[in-house]
Amino acid sequence: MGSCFDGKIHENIVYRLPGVAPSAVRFPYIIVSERIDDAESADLITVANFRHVKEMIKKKAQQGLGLEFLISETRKMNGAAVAKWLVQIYDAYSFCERTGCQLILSSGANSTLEMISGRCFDAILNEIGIDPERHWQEMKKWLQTATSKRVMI
Amino acid sequence: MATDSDIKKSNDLMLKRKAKKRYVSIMHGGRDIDSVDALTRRCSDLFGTIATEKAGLRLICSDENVIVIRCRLAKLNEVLVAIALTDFPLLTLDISASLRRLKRRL
Repeated sequence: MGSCFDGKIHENIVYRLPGVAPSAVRFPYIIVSERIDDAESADLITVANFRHVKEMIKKKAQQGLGLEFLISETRKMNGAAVAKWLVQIYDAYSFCERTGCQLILSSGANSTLEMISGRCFDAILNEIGIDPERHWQEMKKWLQTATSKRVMI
Repeated sequence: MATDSDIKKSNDLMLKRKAKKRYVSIMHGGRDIDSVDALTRRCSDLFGTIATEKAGLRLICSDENVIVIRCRLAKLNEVLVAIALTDFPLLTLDISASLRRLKRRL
């Protein structure tokens, strides 16, 4: 589970920070940005529309970069837009497979009710055409690599 | 070519077959009827009315902010996708083949 740092350290949470922590910290974290220009320094880039930024990402993305897509954005969409979004995610997945990046699906939740269960994530991955088991294994590896890059006490 | 006895056998098999179902407990933030309505509408919007009818979505019981729905196993994936993508906030808590076991785990 990922969360913004609110001053308290909780177990099994990977914190999302906007930049490198000024000193060594006691919690695992990754650097998150919404700007493609930050692709060299960030671990994770949140992408709103992959088709719009694909060419830019192609130029800037390095191996190991995470591309995050928020499911919360699809809740307001109609059926046709959701279908396009699902195809877009598959395009991003293929891109990640080719370039060594990591596709990340996040709930984008701001409250408990907006969270998405693991079984629902699996159903969405199946709908996109991604093998859930393989995806979670790759995610685990990616997260270990990303968090181990940061200095922790 | 299939003989009469083969056809009779396959008909028997078809008659004996009962669609497997799953019970899903869902946490919601509004009225139970509204939640099921929102879910049915979203399922219909995403997968079509025929698939939604085939899913056989039914509200089984509700308790404060948790509802239990029943659907066909064959369409469980579609129902779960619809739950995750519904604007009305819904959170899947558990899935079970029997209502008794699901209630015990709640």
